Amino acid sequence: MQVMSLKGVSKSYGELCALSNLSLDVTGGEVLCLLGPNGAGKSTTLNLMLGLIKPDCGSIEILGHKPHSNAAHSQIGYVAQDNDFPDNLTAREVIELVASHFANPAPTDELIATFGLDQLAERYTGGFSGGERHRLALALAFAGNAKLIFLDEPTTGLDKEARLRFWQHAKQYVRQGGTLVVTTHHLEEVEDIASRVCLIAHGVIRLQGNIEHIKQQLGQKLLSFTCEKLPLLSSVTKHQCIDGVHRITSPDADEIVCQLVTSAVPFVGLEIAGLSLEQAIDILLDQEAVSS
Amino acid sequence: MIAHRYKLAIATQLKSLFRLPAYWVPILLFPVMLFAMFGAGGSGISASYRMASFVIYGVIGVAFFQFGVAIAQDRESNWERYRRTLPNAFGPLMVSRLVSALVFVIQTAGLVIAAALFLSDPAISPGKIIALLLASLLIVIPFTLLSIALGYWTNSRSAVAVANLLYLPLAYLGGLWMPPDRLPEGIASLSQFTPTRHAGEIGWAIIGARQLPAVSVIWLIGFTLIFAALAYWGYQRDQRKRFA
Repeated sequence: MQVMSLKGVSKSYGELCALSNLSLDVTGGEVLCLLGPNGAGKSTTLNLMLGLIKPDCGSIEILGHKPHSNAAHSQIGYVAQDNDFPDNLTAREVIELVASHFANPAPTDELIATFGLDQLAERYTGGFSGGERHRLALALAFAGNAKLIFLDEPTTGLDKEARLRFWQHAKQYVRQGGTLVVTTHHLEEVEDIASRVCLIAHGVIRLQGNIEHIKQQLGQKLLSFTCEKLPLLSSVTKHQCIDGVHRITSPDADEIVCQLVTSAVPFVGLEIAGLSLEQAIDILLDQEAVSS
Repeated sequence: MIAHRYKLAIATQLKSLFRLPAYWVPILLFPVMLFAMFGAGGSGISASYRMASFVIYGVIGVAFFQFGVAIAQDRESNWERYRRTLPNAFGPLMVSRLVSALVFVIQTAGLVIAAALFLSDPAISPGKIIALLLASLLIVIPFTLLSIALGYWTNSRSAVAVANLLYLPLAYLGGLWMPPDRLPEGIASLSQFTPTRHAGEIGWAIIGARQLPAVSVIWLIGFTLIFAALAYWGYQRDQRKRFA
């Protein structure tokens, strides 16, 4: 079942083109991860999906409704990056206020327990720390039993325990058929929950792929060493040479080392490391560029 | 469910305002305090005129702080942004704001009237008081619009200062603190051009059982149009700034 679709969506702020011709479909039960450097257009994309801003052209539908409509809003939950609440309301009052907007809200006590708000429930939010505010915001996203939840950097400011607890709940939500759209800088956190990754840079989708595809790249190793004259090597995915230091990406690091040794070329300072997600995505971007 | 949503929105709004003395003390207590200091005493029609002046002064204060200052603060809050992603958010938000404004209007006016009955001997009847209260609700419209404009043209740090800077001199110039004929000469001539003066004229006419002064009604309609335009302009500017 299709939960959300964006077709040819563009948005400019004066001269600045924040998004151009973005198309994206999200199916029910999926976890879509939006990646990209700051200023890439992630926030604009999210604001458009939430119906907080209107696109210059193109169309957006959430379960067949316009994104700013009540019909769409009654199916979504949202956690912003920065959250504040009326200072002199308690966490419980805030949750109940939000829940009252939904037809089938989650029981308040259940949310309080799930998000570890027991100690905070009867306290005014004005005295909350950043992490505590964030935990309340997470609870609110799940308060409406929405079909689609948008999480903008959901674990910023959370300690390890709260993080684990949150992802546990998110996984359960997805297992029960919920859909998540997550923006994050820490893909390692969402690796085992994300089903698809969408990389946005300079207002366009640079890469869209299933997480397995990206994980395959992550299985590769990065070898770096200094050597005068590099012999001809096989099983190399990517090769870079900066100031005499060679950086080689390969699915089989042992094989590369064997080749180096048997070629008898002198080399020093060999280091082998796993790929970071960014490096894996870089490789995929290179492959895209070559194939297109 | 809809009734529950509205009820909860109103209850929550009132709770959060009453938990903030910095908000309700100036709105509820200042008019009655100023009335006790400068307006109370005496008897007959002049005592009731002074009561009417301070009722109107109090009601205009609610408009300034309930709308203008609140809008300026909300514009910068992530909470308001979040609220716009909730279904059916606009209705409860507006209704809760109006209802709490009404609650404050009734309280601030009630306090001034009670003080007048205690401290002076005004020539009033229940009918006149109800007429005055109803008229205040109409009189307050241009000031609500002015305060909405202020909400869009100031920010959360300057809003309270600017609101007071408009509200207090306007009250004084309009003759709400002392009768216009007792204002210093230069200031008395300015008085004619303030919305507060015309609001006062309407209130005094009601208390004095005189015919409504047409000139003041026209002035207030004029101010309403100007302030509505300012508010709309400010709103548009804010929308553009935020989303364009």
